Amino acid sequence: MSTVDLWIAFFGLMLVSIFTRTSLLLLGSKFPIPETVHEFLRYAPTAALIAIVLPEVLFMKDPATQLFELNLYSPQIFGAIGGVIGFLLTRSILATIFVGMLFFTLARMVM
Amino acid sequence: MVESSPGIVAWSLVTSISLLSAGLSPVDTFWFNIMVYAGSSQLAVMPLINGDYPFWTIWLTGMIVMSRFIIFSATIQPHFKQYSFLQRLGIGTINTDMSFAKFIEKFPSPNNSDGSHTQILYFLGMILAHWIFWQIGALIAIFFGSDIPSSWGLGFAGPLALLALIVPAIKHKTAVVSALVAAITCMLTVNLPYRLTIVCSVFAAVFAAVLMDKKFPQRRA
Repeated sequence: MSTVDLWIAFFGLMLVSIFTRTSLLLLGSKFPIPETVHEFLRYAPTAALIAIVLPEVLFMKDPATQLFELNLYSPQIFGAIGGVIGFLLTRSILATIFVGMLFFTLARMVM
Repeated sequence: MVESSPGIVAWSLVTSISLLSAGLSPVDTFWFNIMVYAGSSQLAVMPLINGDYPFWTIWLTGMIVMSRFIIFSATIQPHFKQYSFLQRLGIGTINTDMSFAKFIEKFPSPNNSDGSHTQILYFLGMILAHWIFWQIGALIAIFFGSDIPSSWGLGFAGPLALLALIVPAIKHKTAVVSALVAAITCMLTVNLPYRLTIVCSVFAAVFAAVLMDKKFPQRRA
Protein backbone atom coordinates (compact mmCIF):
# COMPACT_ATOMS: atom_id res chain seq x y z
CA MET A 1 0.00 0.00 0.00
CA SER A 2 1.38 3.44 -0.91
CA THR A 3 1.92 6.07 1.76
CA VAL A 4 -1.08 8.08 0.59
CA ASP A 5 -3.32 4.99 0.60
CA LEU A 6 -2.05 4.06 4.05
CA TRP A 7 -2.99 7.48 5.40
CA ILE A 8 -6.43 7.33 3.80
CA ALA A 9 -6.89 3.96 5.52
CA PHE A 10 -5.70 5.40 8.87
CA PHE A 11 -7.92 8.45 8.53
CA GLY A 12 -11.00 6.33 7.86
CA LEU A 13 -10.15 4.05 10.78
CA MET A 14 -9.79 7.12 12.99
CA LEU A 15 -13.33 8.19 12.05
CA VAL A 16 -14.54 4.62 12.73
CA SER A 17 -12.94 4.72 16.20
CA ILE A 18 -14.52 8.07 17.01
CA PHE A 19 -17.91 7.08 15.61
CA THR A 20 -18.20 3.79 17.51
CA ARG A 21 -16.95 5.25 20.78
CA THR A 22 -19.17 8.33 20.78
CA SER A 23 -22.27 7.24 18.80
CA LEU A 24 -24.90 6.74 21.50
CA LEU A 25 -23.12 9.07 23.90
CA LEU A 26 -23.89 11.86 21.44
CA LEU A 27 -27.30 10.68 20.20
CA GLY A 28 -28.44 9.81 23.71
CA SER A 29 -29.81 13.26 24.45
CA LYS A 30 -32.41 12.69 21.72
CA PHE A 31 -33.07 9.08 22.77
CA PRO A 32 -32.72 8.94 26.54
CA ILE A 33 -31.75 5.51 27.85
CA PRO A 34 -34.31 4.19 30.38
CA GLU A 35 -33.05 3.41 33.86
CA THR A 36 -33.95 -0.29 33.60
CA VAL A 37 -31.97 -0.66 30.36
CA HIS A 38 -29.02 1.10 31.93
CA GLU A 39 -29.15 -1.23 34.89
CA PHE A 40 -28.63 -4.24 32.62
CA LEU A 41 -26.05 -2.56 30.42
CA ARG A 42 -23.90 -2.44 33.56
CA TYR A 43 -23.12 -6.12 32.90
CA ALA A 44 -21.63 -5.25 29.47
CA PRO A 45 -18.11 -4.20 30.55
CA THR A 46 -17.32 -7.35 32.53
CA ALA A 47 -18.63 -9.53 29.70
CA ALA A 48 -16.43 -7.71 27.19
CA LEU A 49 -13.35 -8.10 29.41
CA ILE A 50 -14.10 -11.82 29.84
CA ALA A 51 -14.34 -12.21 26.05
CA ILE A 52 -11.00 -10.42 25.64
CA VAL A 53 -9.14 -12.37 28.34
CA LEU A 54 -10.56 -15.88 27.91
CA PRO A 55 -9.14 -16.57 24.41
CA GLU A 56 -5.67 -15.62 25.75
CA VAL A 57 -5.98 -18.00 28.71
CA LEU A 58 -8.02 -21.06 27.70
CA PHE A 59 -7.00 -21.23 24.06
CA MET A 60 -3.90 -21.54 21.93
CA LYS A 61 -3.76 -20.16 18.42
CA ASP A 62 -2.88 -22.79 15.86
CA PRO A 63 -0.11 -21.14 13.80
CA ALA A 64 -1.17 -22.94 10.62
CA THR A 65 -4.94 -22.34 10.63
CA GLN A 66 -4.97 -19.21 12.85
CA LEU A 67 -7.88 -20.81 14.76
CA PHE A 68 -8.19 -20.90 18.54
CA GLU A 69 -7.94 -24.37 20.02
CA LEU A 70 -8.93 -25.21 23.59
CA ASN A 71 -5.84 -25.92 25.70
CA LEU A 72 -6.45 -26.50 29.39
CA TYR A 73 -2.84 -27.37 30.24
CA SER A 74 -0.90 -24.26 29.36
CA PRO A 75 1.34 -21.75 31.18
CA GLN A 76 -1.42 -19.20 30.62
CA ILE A 77 -3.83 -21.21 32.80
CA PHE A 78 -1.30 -21.27 35.65
CA GLY A 79 -0.61 -17.58 35.10
CA ALA A 80 -4.32 -16.75 35.33
CA ILE A 81 -4.70 -18.89 38.49
CA GLY A 82 -1.72 -17.04 39.97
CA GLY A 83 -3.26 -13.72 38.97
CA VAL A 84 -6.58 -14.53 40.66
CA ILE A 85 -4.77 -15.68 43.83
CA GLY A 86 -2.68 -12.50 43.78
CA PHE A 87 -5.79 -10.39 43.40
CA LEU A 88 -7.80 -12.14 46.12
CA LEU A 89 -4.92 -11.82 48.60
CA THR A 90 -4.06 -8.18 47.92
CA ARG A 91 -6.92 -6.59 45.90
CA SER A 92 -4.17 -4.84 43.93
CA ILE A 93 -3.79 -4.83 40.13
CA LEU A 94 -0.02 -4.59 40.41
CA ALA A 95 0.15 -7.72 42.58
CA THR A 96 -2.22 -9.49 40.18
CA ILE A 97 0.14 -8.78 37.28
CA PHE A 98 3.23 -9.67 39.34
CA VAL A 99 1.99 -12.99 40.79
CA GLY A 100 0.37 -13.89 37.46
CA MET A 101 3.59 -13.28 35.51
CA LEU A 102 5.54 -15.22 38.15
CA PHE A 103 3.26 -18.28 37.85
CA PHE A 104 3.20 -17.93 34.04
CA THR A 105 7.00 -17.73 33.77
CA LEU A 106 7.62 -20.59 36.21
CA ALA A 107 5.10 -22.77 34.39
CA ARG A 108 6.81 -22.03 31.08
CA MET A 109 10.17 -23.05 32.53
CA VAL A 110 8.78 -26.33 33.88
CA MET A 111 6.41 -27.31 31.05
CA MET B 1 -5.00 3.72 36.36
CA VAL B 2 -1.39 4.16 37.45
CA GLU B 3 -1.75 0.74 39.07
CA SER B 4 -2.77 -0.89 35.78
CA SER B 5 -0.05 0.92 33.85
CA PRO B 6 2.29 -2.12 33.54
CA GLY B 7 -0.59 -4.02 31.92
CA ILE B 8 -1.42 -1.19 29.51
CA VAL B 9 2.23 -0.55 28.55
CA ALA B 10 2.91 -4.26 28.06
CA TRP B 11 -0.20 -4.70 25.93
CA SER B 12 0.59 -1.67 23.80
CA LEU B 13 4.21 -2.77 23.46
CA VAL B 14 3.20 -6.19 22.16
CA THR B 15 0.57 -4.67 19.83
CA SER B 16 3.07 -2.27 18.26
CA ILE B 17 5.73 -4.98 17.96
CA SER B 18 3.20 -7.02 15.93
CA LEU B 19 2.40 -4.00 13.75
CA LEU B 20 6.11 -3.39 13.13
CA SER B 21 6.81 -7.02 12.37
CA ALA B 22 3.86 -7.01 9.95
CA GLY B 23 5.86 -4.45 7.96
CA LEU B 24 4.57 -1.06 9.15
CA SER B 25 7.32 1.57 9.35
CA PRO B 26 8.14 3.10 12.78
CA VAL B 27 6.69 6.50 11.76
CA ASP B 28 3.47 4.91 10.45
CA THR B 29 3.20 2.78 13.58
CA PHE B 30 3.48 5.90 15.74
CA TRP B 31 0.73 7.77 13.85
CA PHE B 32 -1.47 4.67 13.61
CA ASN B 33 -1.55 4.57 17.43
CA ILE B 34 -2.14 8.31 17.77
CA MET B 35 -4.90 8.49 15.16
CA VAL B 36 -6.78 5.22 15.54
CA TYR B 37 -5.87 4.26 19.14
CA ALA B 38 -7.68 0.91 19.06
CA GLY B 39 -5.33 -2.04 19.50
CA SER B 40 -7.75 -4.80 18.54
CA SER B 41 -8.95 -2.95 15.45
CA GLN B 42 -5.39 -2.05 14.38
CA LEU B 43 -4.26 -5.68 14.62
CA ALA B 44 -7.34 -6.91 12.76
CA VAL B 45 -6.86 -4.64 9.72
CA MET B 46 -3.09 -5.17 9.42
CA PRO B 47 -3.35 -8.23 7.12
CA LEU B 48 -5.86 -6.29 4.96
CA ILE B 49 -3.53 -3.30 4.69
CA ASN B 50 -0.69 -5.62 3.73
CA GLY B 51 -2.87 -7.35 1.16
CA ASP B 52 -3.91 -4.04 -0.48
CA TYR B 53 -7.59 -4.67 0.23
CA PRO B 54 -10.11 -1.97 -0.70
CA PHE B 55 -10.61 0.80 1.84
CA TRP B 56 -14.22 -0.14 2.62
CA THR B 57 -13.13 -3.67 3.62
CA ILE B 58 -10.55 -2.20 5.98
CA TRP B 59 -12.98 0.30 7.49
CA LEU B 60 -15.81 -2.22 7.80
CA THR B 61 -13.48 -4.63 9.59
CA GLY B 62 -12.48 -1.86 11.99
CA MET B 63 -16.14 -1.04 12.51
CA ILE B 64 -17.13 -4.62 13.39
CA VAL B 65 -14.19 -5.03 15.78
CA MET B 66 -15.11 -1.73 17.45
CA SER B 67 -18.88 -2.34 17.54
CA ARG B 68 -18.80 -3.19 21.26
CA PHE B 69 -18.05 0.48 21.90
CA ILE B 70 -21.49 1.43 20.55
CA ILE B 71 -22.97 -0.50 23.49
CA PHE B 72 -20.42 1.07 25.85
CA SER B 73 -21.28 4.56 24.61
CA ALA B 74 -24.94 3.90 25.44
CA THR B 75 -23.95 2.72 28.91
CA ILE B 76 -22.02 5.88 29.82
CA GLN B 77 -24.55 8.21 28.17
CA PRO B 78 -26.80 8.73 31.26
CA HIS B 79 -23.68 9.63 33.28
CA PHE B 80 -22.67 12.48 31.01
CA LYS B 81 -25.93 13.67 29.46
CA GLN B 82 -25.64 17.15 31.01
CA TYR B 83 -22.43 17.94 29.13
CA SER B 84 -22.13 19.66 25.76
CA PHE B 85 -21.77 17.89 22.41
CA LEU B 86 -18.07 18.76 22.19
CA GLN B 87 -17.35 17.66 25.76
CA ARG B 88 -19.07 14.31 25.12
CA LEU B 89 -17.23 13.94 21.80
CA GLY B 90 -13.96 14.61 23.61
CA ILE B 91 -14.38 12.10 26.41
CA GLY B 92 -15.95 9.44 24.19
CA THR B 93 -13.22 9.53 21.56
CA ILE B 94 -10.52 7.91 23.71
CA ASN B 95 -12.69 5.55 25.75
CA THR B 96 -11.22 2.05 26.25
CA ASP B 97 -12.51 -1.31 27.50
CA MET B 98 -10.48 -1.03 30.68
CA SER B 99 -11.39 2.58 31.56
CA PHE B 100 -15.04 1.91 30.83
CA ALA B 101 -15.12 -1.17 33.07
CA LYS B 102 -13.36 0.65 35.91
CA PHE B 103 -15.68 3.62 35.63
CA ILE B 104 -18.90 1.55 35.75
CA GLU B 105 -17.50 -0.43 38.69
CA LYS B 106 -16.81 2.82 40.57
CA PHE B 107 -19.98 4.68 39.54
CA PRO B 108 -22.74 2.11 38.89
CA SER B 109 -25.43 4.78 39.11
CA PRO B 110 -25.58 7.85 36.84
CA ASN B 111 -27.16 9.85 39.67
CA ASN B 112 -24.90 12.66 40.65
CA SER B 113 -26.89 14.04 43.53
CA ASP B 114 -24.59 16.89 44.58
CA GLY B 115 -24.26 18.13 41.00
CA SER B 116 -20.46 17.98 41.17
CA HIS B 117 -18.18 16.99 38.29
CA THR B 118 -16.63 14.03 40.15
CA GLN B 119 -17.72 11.45 37.56
CA ILE B 120 -16.49 13.25 34.48
CA LEU B 121 -13.19 14.21 36.14
CA TYR B 122 -12.60 10.61 37.22
CA PHE B 123 -13.40 9.38 33.70
CA LEU B 124 -11.26 12.04 32.04
CA GLY B 125 -8.26 11.35 34.31
CA MET B 126 -8.50 7.66 33.61
CA ILE B 127 -8.81 7.81 29.82
CA LEU B 128 -6.01 10.38 29.55
CA ALA B 129 -3.70 8.27 31.71
CA HIS B 130 -4.61 5.21 29.65
CA TRP B 131 -3.87 7.10 26.41
CA ILE B 132 -0.46 8.25 27.68
CA PHE B 133 0.56 4.77 28.90
CA TRP B 134 -0.56 3.28 25.58
CA GLN B 135 1.60 5.74 23.60
CA ILE B 136 4.56 5.09 25.94
CA GLY B 137 4.25 1.38 25.15
CA ALA B 138 4.15 2.15 21.42
CA LEU B 139 7.28 4.35 21.68
CA ILE B 140 9.15 1.63 23.61
CA ALA B 141 8.23 -0.82 20.83
CA ILE B 142 9.41 1.61 18.15
CA PHE B 143 12.77 2.36 19.79
CA PHE B 144 13.59 -0.84 21.70
CA GLY B 145 11.18 -3.42 20.25
CA SER B 146 13.90 -5.45 18.61
CA ASP B 147 15.79 -5.73 21.93
CA ILE B 148 12.86 -7.35 23.74
CA PRO B 149 12.79 -11.13 23.23
CA SER B 150 9.28 -12.39 22.53
CA SER B 151 10.14 -15.38 24.71
CA TRP B 152 9.59 -13.23 27.78
CA GLY B 153 5.87 -13.39 27.13
CA LEU B 154 5.38 -9.79 28.30
CA GLY B 155 2.07 -9.59 26.46
CA PHE B 156 0.44 -11.77 29.10
CA ALA B 157 0.56 -8.80 31.51
CA GLY B 158 -2.35 -7.26 29.56
CA PRO B 159 -4.87 -10.05 30.20
CA LEU B 160 -3.68 -10.22 33.82
CA ALA B 161 -4.46 -6.54 34.38
CA LEU B 162 -7.98 -7.14 33.03
CA LEU B 163 -8.35 -10.17 35.32
CA ALA B 164 -8.01 -7.78 38.27
CA LEU B 165 -11.04 -5.89 36.95
CA ILE B 166 -13.16 -8.96 36.18
CA VAL B 167 -12.87 -10.72 39.57
CA PRO B 168 -14.19 -7.85 41.76
CA ALA B 169 -17.11 -7.22 39.37
CA ILE B 170 -18.52 -10.73 39.96
CA LYS B 171 -20.01 -10.02 43.37
CA HIS B 172 -23.63 -11.24 43.46
CA LYS B 173 -25.80 -13.97 41.97
CA THR B 174 -26.86 -12.11 38.82
CA ALA B 175 -23.26 -11.05 38.14
CA VAL B 176 -22.02 -14.66 38.53
CA VAL B 177 -24.61 -16.02 36.10
CA SER B 178 -24.01 -13.17 33.66
CA ALA B 179 -20.23 -13.76 33.76
CA LEU B 180 -20.65 -17.53 33.29
CA VAL B 181 -22.91 -16.96 30.29
CA ALA B 182 -20.33 -14.54 28.86
CA ALA B 183 -17.56 -17.12 29.35
CA ILE B 184 -19.54 -19.96 27.73
CA THR B 185 -20.61 -17.73 24.82
CA CYS B 186 -17.03 -16.65 24.33
CA MET B 187 -15.81 -20.28 24.26
CA LEU B 188 -18.47 -21.20 21.68
CA THR B 189 -17.85 -18.19 19.42
CA VAL B 190 -14.09 -17.76 19.86
CA ASN B 191 -13.33 -18.55 16.23
CA LEU B 192 -15.78 -16.08 14.68
CA PRO B 193 -14.04 -13.49 12.48
CA TYR B 194 -13.62 -9.82 13.43
CA ARG B 195 -13.44 -10.68 17.14
CA LEU B 196 -17.23 -10.90 17.06
CA THR B 197 -16.96 -13.13 20.11
CA ILE B 198 -16.77 -9.96 22.22
CA VAL B 199 -20.09 -8.57 20.97
CA CYS B 200 -21.77 -12.01 21.20
CA SER B 201 -20.59 -12.41 24.80
CA VAL B 202 -21.77 -8.92 25.74
CA PHE B 203 -25.25 -9.51 24.31
CA ALA B 204 -25.55 -12.93 25.95
CA ALA B 205 -24.37 -11.63 29.32
CA VAL B 206 -26.77 -8.67 29.32
CA PHE B 207 -29.62 -10.95 28.23
CA ALA B 208 -28.76 -13.40 31.02
CA ALA B 209 -28.88 -10.56 33.55
CA VAL B 210 -32.36 -9.57 32.31
CA LEU B 211 -33.59 -13.17 32.65
CA MET B 212 -32.08 -13.51 36.13
CA ASP B 213 -33.81 -10.34 37.21
CA LYS B 214 -37.16 -11.62 35.90
CA LYS B 215 -36.74 -14.90 37.73
CA PHE B 216 -35.36 -13.49 40.98
CA PRO B 217 -36.56 -9.89 41.19
CA GLN B 218 -34.23 -8.05 43.54
CA ARG B 219 -34.44 -4.77 45.35
CA ARG B 220 -33.09 -2.00 43.18
CA ALA B 221 -29.87 -0.91 44.78
